[in-house]
Amino acid sequence: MKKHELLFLLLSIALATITRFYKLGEVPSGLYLDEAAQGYNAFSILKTGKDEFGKSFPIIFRSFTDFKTPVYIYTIVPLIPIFGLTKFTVRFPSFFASILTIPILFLLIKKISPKKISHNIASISILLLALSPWHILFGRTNFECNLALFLYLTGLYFFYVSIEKPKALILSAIFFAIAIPAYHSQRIITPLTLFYLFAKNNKTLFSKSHKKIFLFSLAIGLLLLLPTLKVALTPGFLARASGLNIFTRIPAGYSDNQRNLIDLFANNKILLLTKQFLALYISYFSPRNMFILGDYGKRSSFPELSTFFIWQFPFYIIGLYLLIKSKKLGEIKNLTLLLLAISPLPAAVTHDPYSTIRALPLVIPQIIVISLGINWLYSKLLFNKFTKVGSLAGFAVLFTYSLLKLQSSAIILNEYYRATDWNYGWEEVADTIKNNLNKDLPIIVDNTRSEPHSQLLFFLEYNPENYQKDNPLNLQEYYTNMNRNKNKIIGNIITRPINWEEDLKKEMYLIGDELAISTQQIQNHNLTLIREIKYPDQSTAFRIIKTNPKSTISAF
Amino acid sequence: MNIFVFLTSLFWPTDLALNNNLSNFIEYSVCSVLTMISLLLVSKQPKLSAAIMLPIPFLTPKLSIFLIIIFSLQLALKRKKIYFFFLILSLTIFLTKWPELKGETIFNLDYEKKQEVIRNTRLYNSIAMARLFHNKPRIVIDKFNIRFFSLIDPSNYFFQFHPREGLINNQNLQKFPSLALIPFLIALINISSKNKSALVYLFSGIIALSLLNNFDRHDFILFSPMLLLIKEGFEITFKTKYKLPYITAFLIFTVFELTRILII
Repeated sequence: MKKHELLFLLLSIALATITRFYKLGEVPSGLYLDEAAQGYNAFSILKTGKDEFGKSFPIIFRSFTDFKTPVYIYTIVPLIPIFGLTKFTVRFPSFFASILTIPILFLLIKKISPKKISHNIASISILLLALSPWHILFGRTNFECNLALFLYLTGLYFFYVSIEKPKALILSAIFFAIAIPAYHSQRIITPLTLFYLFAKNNKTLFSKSHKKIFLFSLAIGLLLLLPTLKVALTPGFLARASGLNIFTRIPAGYSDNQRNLIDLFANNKILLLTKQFLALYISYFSPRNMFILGDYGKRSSFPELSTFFIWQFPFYIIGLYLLIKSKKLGEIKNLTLLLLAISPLPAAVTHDPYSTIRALPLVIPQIIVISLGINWLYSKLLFNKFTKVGSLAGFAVLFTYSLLKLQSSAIILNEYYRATDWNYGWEEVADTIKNNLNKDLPIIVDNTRSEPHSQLLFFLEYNPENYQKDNPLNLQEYYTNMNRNKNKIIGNIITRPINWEEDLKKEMYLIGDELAISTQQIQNHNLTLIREIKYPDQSTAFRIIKTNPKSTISAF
Repeated sequence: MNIFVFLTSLFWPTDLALNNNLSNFIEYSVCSVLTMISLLLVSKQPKLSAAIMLPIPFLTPKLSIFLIIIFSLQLALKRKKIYFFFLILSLTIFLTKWPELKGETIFNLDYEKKQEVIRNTRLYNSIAMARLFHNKPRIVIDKFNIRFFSLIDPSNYFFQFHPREGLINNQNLQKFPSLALIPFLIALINISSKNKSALVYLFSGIIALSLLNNFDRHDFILFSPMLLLIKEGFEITFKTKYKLPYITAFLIFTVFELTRILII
């Protein structure tokens, strides 16, 4: 690697580290229930070798019967003795994978691009990725998709290395095999990629120099995938796919009112579903979604910031044109077109509009496209020293603006506007339970609008063995029983809806949000307000109150 | 190929007619027809082509900006004195129509947005940073961006804004058959002298509409340039080996979608 290439790489890694490590674990300050569940399951594995339900080293984690992918959870396990069970710990693997993606992407693009442009495209791409709001969001929070993307890209890189150095096929197989169970989308993207790589390179793979290593790598890959394949047909493994896909729902625009054959034709489910799929698929290439709207989900987007910066739009258009028209781009064109085509597929078969979690691999080809556009403009501006310096200065201004925009949206506005979405407040609730409440009295935590048990378990670092005993599950049905019991027992804490008729008759603590415990109820029943936890916008998050059975007035 | 262009051309006018009263439909259609005639004459009779556009602001004051942009672009690209004359004329018309137009543009700042700026600036420790991202000009810029990107969103024209309908004031009409997206993109990639004028009209229309608070239904002026581009795209597609599968899929889907427009 040349000196200036190394410099660019180090600069991008430094930039990526700053944007992802700054206040890691502190911002967002809430801990979403899925993050807490993954952290607690990792804690449970560390302490007992079993998950929260008592299952030994599960292949997929039952959790909220959403059957979380296992790889991320297992990466948290060794971090807990080092960092403790904290928000920083559960988000660290995502951060680390996010940083490692930078050099891998650099090496991959350098490997497959024509020598004339490889340095430029690789350097610009990693700089853009370092600043990418899309990639940063998932690099600062606990999302499996980020780790899966890193594993997938590493598998890709080693495959291309193996064309000249066959032994790299073994590493490629290992990374691809771990990528598949790392996130749901990879169950579609990785096999399709492997199909393409095999179709394109089958002569090389079956050549004298590669055949033995290829078959050996295949065997290793299948061996690593065996546990996943073992549960592949269980309802648990298919839970996410069956729950979210558009094919099990009534298609958009369908009308039950069918009086004749014309109505039947106009409401044909196959045609409606096909149209719906196409609409969802195309939305991942829509500039409106990419540069203005972003993800519709409040936790997968930053306020006032989309998946890409708006200044990147003209380069995206130029880059797309160059990608399609150019005949000199070689394998980078093929791979970019492949990734553009297949990355939205897992997301487009679900009903959520523009889901950036499920389509995260799409960030890579779209960044490559933008890089092509930037590289083209830069090459046009190189005709004298003045324009060269001017264009570099211009990009420096854009990058500085982008950094400030990230600070504004990801740190300042996100904390104020998205606290509810990130389940802010449970750490404070757990703190009050630990330090201010009588441990001999029962505590009822209202779960009408949420499932707070994972956050309570996490922040209280509750003994997993006790939790497994108090909340048993028939482990024979671990991957097949889709019933979910929302009510949980955590020592003297029970998560269930508050029963205002019965609960006021006994001395206990009640914890709930503003709808569960209103100021009117506190007054009417002469309850004692222990603590009121507020969101950053000063609205009420939770109230912790103590009942007063002796002077309770019936509310009914 | 004419049958495909004909089928494609049925969607937007039909859905517009079915979802609006007669007088509104006529207003939007006349502007669109004038745009179409102007576009067809632009290379052979530029003077007549420009003159035909002049009644548009009198029918719909909101579209006065459209003329200014289109004549400015044509002056810049073709450098013909006649476009300078029409540009001055359109500016004069715009100034006379300004009282009617004033409240209809994005430059009209609403109270709620101004309050949001004040609220957000209080969240920052640095006044400079707060002012960089939250200020009154930014309200206008953001409004423009939302409208501009809605107008260039393929979902707007081919999928009724699905899956993100409801985010902007819009009737969500089925403007073109879904599968006409393919020839449209092919035409955009293969820009030729034949479709340059259509691009100029399309771009001008998008910019002009982006300056309006509510561009819904007035965007019918984009019908003719888009139809011409789709026609160009059909010509290219039908020369490829994918002609037969595309035609089959197109016909099935188009008849299906057209049926839905008529009966649902």
